[in-house]
Amino acid sequence: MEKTLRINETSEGFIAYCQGSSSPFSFLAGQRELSAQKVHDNYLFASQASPGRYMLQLVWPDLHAGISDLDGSHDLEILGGYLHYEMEYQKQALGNQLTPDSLGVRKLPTGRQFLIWCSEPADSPSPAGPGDGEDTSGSRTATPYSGFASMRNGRELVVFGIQGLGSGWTRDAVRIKAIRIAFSTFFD
Amino acid sequence: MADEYAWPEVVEEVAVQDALDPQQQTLDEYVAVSTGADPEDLAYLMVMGLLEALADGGSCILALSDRVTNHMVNGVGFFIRGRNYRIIFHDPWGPGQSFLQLGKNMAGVAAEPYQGGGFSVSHHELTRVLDSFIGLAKPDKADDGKDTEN
Repeated sequence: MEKTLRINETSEGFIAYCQGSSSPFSFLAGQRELSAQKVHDNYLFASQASPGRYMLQLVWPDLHAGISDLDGSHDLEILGGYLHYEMEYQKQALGNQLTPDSLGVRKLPTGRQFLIWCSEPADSPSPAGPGDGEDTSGSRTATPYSGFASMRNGRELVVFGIQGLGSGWTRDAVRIKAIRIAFSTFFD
Repeated sequence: MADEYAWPEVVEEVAVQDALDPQQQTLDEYVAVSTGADPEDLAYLMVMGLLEALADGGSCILALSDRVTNHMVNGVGFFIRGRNYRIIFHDPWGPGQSFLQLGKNMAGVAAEPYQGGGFSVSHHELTRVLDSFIGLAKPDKADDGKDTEN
């Protein structure tokens, strides 16, 4: 089924409304000064927050047939499988690793679970220290670390990836932004 | 190369169980770590923490402030309307009144009367006035004051 995404500007911010093969859902795509583009099957948004500009990537694939029919009790296994795949890709393509102690499970107020984690360069000097690995160049280049939140939506997977732009973003700020985006997600 | 990173056909066992350790991460930790974080996110996460507590069936005392007046109300639940969680609360402000009604606070918050009694306010509005909250756990059946000793 073709996926559609439209964005409305509201008092809450820029809200993306998504319709695919499962329940329609919406999330906070940006706070101020939004720009958006579609990259292959993914969407990339850039917007402004207090610590500076940041990028939000939406990855929104359909699950394979053998997985998509599994009931909700397998949600965490499915999310864990994607995490494994994503970090294997990042390790080989970008030299990134899972940030130690960053992996966690949280619940939306409705009870739906999501996975949260961070990635960073494998040669980060002190992975657990807040702010380590920050971009201090003052430029608007992306932070070397990213925050992720993933959740299952029936036959689909919804993954949010956050990177800060410039020096204002600490690792905690990126991680917290990913959690906030996950909490901003509503399913019809 | 194209298939090298293909999404696995079968569910893989990964160390998700490790992430379920309740000691590992709580929302309180996220809120407490404020280094460089977006203040909007921290206020938002505090309200989400409140919703988590209410979702567990407990009630909460909410400490509110519009930076002129400080006030406390009792949060008892929530429901969803559109893209809003609406927090249900009881307010001792006065009969049929609430500090969070439009015109009674300086933050522009506009709580509405709730059909079952009390008021409701959207979680977005609450981010503007919520200073902190205290969760009140549901009474434990084993600790209901009855003498269970023979």
